[in-house]
Amino acid sequence: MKIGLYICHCGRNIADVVDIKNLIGYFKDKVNVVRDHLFMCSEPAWEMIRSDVTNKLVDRVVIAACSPYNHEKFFRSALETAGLSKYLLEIANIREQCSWVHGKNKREATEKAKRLIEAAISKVKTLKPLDDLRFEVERSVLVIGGGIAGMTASLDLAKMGFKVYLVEKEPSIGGKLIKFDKIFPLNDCASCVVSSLMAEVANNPMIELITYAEVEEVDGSFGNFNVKVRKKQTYVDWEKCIGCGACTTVCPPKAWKPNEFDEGLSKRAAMYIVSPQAVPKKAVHDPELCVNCGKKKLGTRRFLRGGKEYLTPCEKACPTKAIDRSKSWNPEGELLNFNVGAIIVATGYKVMEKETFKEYAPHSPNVITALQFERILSPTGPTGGRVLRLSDGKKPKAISFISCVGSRDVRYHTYCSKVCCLYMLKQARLVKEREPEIDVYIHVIDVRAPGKDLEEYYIEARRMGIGVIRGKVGGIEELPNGRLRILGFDADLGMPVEVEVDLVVLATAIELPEDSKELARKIGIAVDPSGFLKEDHPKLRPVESTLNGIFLAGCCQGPKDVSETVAQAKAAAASVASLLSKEEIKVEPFIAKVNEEACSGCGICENVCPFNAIKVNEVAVVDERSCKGCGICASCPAKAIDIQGYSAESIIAEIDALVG
Amino acid sequence: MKYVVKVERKRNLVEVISNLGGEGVSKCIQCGSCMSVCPVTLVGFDYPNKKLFKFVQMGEEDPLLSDPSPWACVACGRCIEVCSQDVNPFSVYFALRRLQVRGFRIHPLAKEAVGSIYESGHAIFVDNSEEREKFGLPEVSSAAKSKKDLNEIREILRSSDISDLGILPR
Repeated sequence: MKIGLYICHCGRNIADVVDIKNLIGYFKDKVNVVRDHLFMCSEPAWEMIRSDVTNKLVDRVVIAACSPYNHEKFFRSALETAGLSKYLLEIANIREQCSWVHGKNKREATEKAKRLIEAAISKVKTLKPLDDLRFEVERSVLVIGGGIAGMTASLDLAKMGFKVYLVEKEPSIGGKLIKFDKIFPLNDCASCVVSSLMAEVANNPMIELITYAEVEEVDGSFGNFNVKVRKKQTYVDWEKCIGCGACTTVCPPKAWKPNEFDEGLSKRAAMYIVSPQAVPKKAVHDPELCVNCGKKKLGTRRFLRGGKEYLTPCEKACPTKAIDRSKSWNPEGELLNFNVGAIIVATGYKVMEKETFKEYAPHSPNVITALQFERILSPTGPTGGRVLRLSDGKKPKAISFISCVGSRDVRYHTYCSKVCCLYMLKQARLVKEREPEIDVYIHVIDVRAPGKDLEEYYIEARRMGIGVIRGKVGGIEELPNGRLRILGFDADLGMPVEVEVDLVVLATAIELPEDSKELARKIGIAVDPSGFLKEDHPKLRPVESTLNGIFLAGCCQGPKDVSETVAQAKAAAASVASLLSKEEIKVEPFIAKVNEEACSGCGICENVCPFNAIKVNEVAVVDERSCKGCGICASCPAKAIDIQGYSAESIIAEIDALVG
Repeated sequence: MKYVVKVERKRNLVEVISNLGGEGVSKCIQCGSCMSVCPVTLVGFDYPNKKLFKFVQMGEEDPLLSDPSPWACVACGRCIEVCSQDVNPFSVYFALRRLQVRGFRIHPLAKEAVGSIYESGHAIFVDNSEEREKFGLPEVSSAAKSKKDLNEIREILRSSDISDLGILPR
C-alpha cells in the first residue's frame, strides 16, 4: 500500500494559518509521497496526482484541502483517469474545519491539521476498491408548480423529448404572473408573456398537466422516483365542462367569499373558474362555501311534488350536464401514481399579509399590499385596470408606496426581497402614465435597481415626477376623513416628513409558503436559514437542491424577478436533461452491505430503516435504489451490516488517529 | 423640524424652476456629489444645492423662498463638473435666485451682494494692490479704481429689472 498525501495552500486560506512546511516535514516519513500546491483544485495539481497514480508511486490518496463537499468529485476523477478505484481517496478538511476557524492560533491549528490528516491516512488504509452503482433511468420528469418557472421548465423538457408531469395545486396554471398587468423593465403585458405559455403547456403532448392536485409522497431516488399525487375533487365533470362560466353566475351571493385570484379584493362564488385566462378553463366547486340550494346536499337527489326532479341553479345552468350533485363524489379525489427520473420544484412564493404590520394601519381598507395593487392595475381585476380605491370607488389624489415591509428587518426577514423596488417603480409609473395628476411617492431605505435596463427604469421614474423619499416609514396614521398620514423620514434632507395620501401600497416581503415547506419536508430537501429552499451550492450548483435528482427553479429558492426565474427554470431543465439523457446513471456506492453469514435475520434493521430499503427474508436484503446510506441499520447487534466506504473498521481507525 | 406634503397645497415647482432656467432639477437623484465639493456646503449653510432641489421635487415652496444659500453660490462651477446626471446644479441654483426675487423674497445677502457690485463693481472686492506692488507684480485693473467703468456698471444695474426691487443704494 503506497499512500500519497497532497496538501493544498488554498492561496492564503490555509497557508496563512497552517504551517505547510511543518506538515510536509512531519508526514515525509509516514507516507510514500508528500506534495503541496498553491491550488490543489487546479489542472496542474490534478495532473500531478494523476501522474503519481499512473506511475504507481501511490495507490491510496489523501488530500488535505477544503471540504470534500467542494472538490471531492474533481479529485476522484484524477484517480479514475489513472485507472484506480476513485473511492480509494480520503479528504482531510483543513480549511473549513481548521484554518478558517483557528485563524488566531496558528501553532494549534497546525497541530490540529496533523491530527485531521493522520485520521484521513488511517481511514484510507482501510478502504477497499468500490464501483459505482448503476441504475436504469426513467426518462420522465415531475415539475411541481405551474407558474412561470414550472411552465418554462416543463416546456423546455418537453421540447427535448422528455415526458413531463406538471402538477399545480390551483385549478389553473399561470402562477402569480398571470395576475399582473405589466412587467418591468419593458412594461410589456404580463398576460401576453404568460397566456401563450399556458396554452403551449396545455397543448404539448409530452406534458401531462395535472392541476388542482398536490404531491403527497415521493419515494425512491434519483433516476427513479415513485410519486404519489392527490388530484383534488372538483365536483365537476371536467370531461364535459366547457368553461362557459354559466354555473358561476347563478351561484347565490350567500355562497361568496373573497376571491383569491383578486387577492381578496373581489368575491367569488362556490362554483368558480379561477380567472378569465384559466388553463384549463374548467369550473370548480367549493363544497365548504356551498349553501346547498334547495337543501339539495351533494350526493343526494330531491324530487318536487309531482315527481319532477329538483335541480340546483348550477345544475340547471350547465349546458353540458357537467354538474351532477346527485353523484356520489369522492371528497378525497383521486390518487395518481407514476415514476419519474427527476423532479423540479417550482412552487413559487407568497407575500406577507398587511395584518402583521400594526404600525401601518392595516385595518384601513385604503392600505393594501402591492399584490393587491397589481390586481387594481390589471384589466382583469376588480376595477378593470382603473386606478381607484375600492373603499369608496374614488380616484385617489395621492398614493404612497412603502418598501421593505418585512424585508431587511431582523424582526421578520433579514434578506432583501429584491423585486419590490422595481415593481413599486413599475406600479408608480403605470399610475403616472394613466393618471398624471395623481401624486405618487415611494418611501425606500434605498432604491435597489442593479442590472441591465433597471437603473435607467428607476431614473426615468424620477424624471416622471415620482417622489422618491429615502427613509423607512415609521408609521401610518388614519385621519378622521379616511386619509392616511405617512410618518416618514427624508434622509436627503435629514428631517422628518409627513405625507398625506389617499391610498397606501405596502411592498410586503416575499417568503416561502408554508405548504412549500411541508413539501420540502415530505421529499427531504433542505430549507435554508432565509426560509427558502436551499440550493446545493450558491455559485456552482444553484439549481440543484440538497438531494440528488431534485432541482429548484424560481422564487421557492429565493426572491427573483421574471427574467431570473426564467433563466433558472431553463437551467434546471437543462441540468435535468443532461442527467436523464444517459442510458443509466451512476450513484455513489455508499450504501448498506449485509454480511449474510453474520446476519441472524432478527429484523431490527427492517424496523429502523426510514426509507423501507431493507427487508428480511431469512437474511436482510438491501434495496440498492432506496438505500440512502444513513447508517441506522449498521447498529446491527450481530454487526452484520456495514456502510460501504464508511465501515466500522474505517471509522474506528479514524477515531483512533484523532484521539490517539 | 419636519415638513408636510399635501397634494392640495402643492405647486409643480419642477415646472416653475425649469421655466426659470433650471431644467435639470427633475434629473437630480440626490446622490450628493455636488454637495461634496460645494463651498456653500463647506461654510455650513443649512440647505446647500441638492437639498433645495429635493424641496423643488417635493413641491415644498416655503424653504425655497426663504433659504439664503443660493445667494452664497460663488459660481465656481465644481457642481457642474461632478454631477453624474447632467443636472447642472449651478443653473438650478440661479433659477432659485430668480424664484426668490420674483416672490419679493430678497435675502440680506442678496442686497449686500448687489450693493457691493453697485459700490465697487465687485460682489466681493479685496484691494491687494499694495501687496502686489511689494512682490513686484503688475497692477491689475479694476472697476473699483475706474470711475468710468463703475458708472457704466451702475447704469447697467439701474436700467435692469433689479432697479424695480428697491435694493440699489440711493
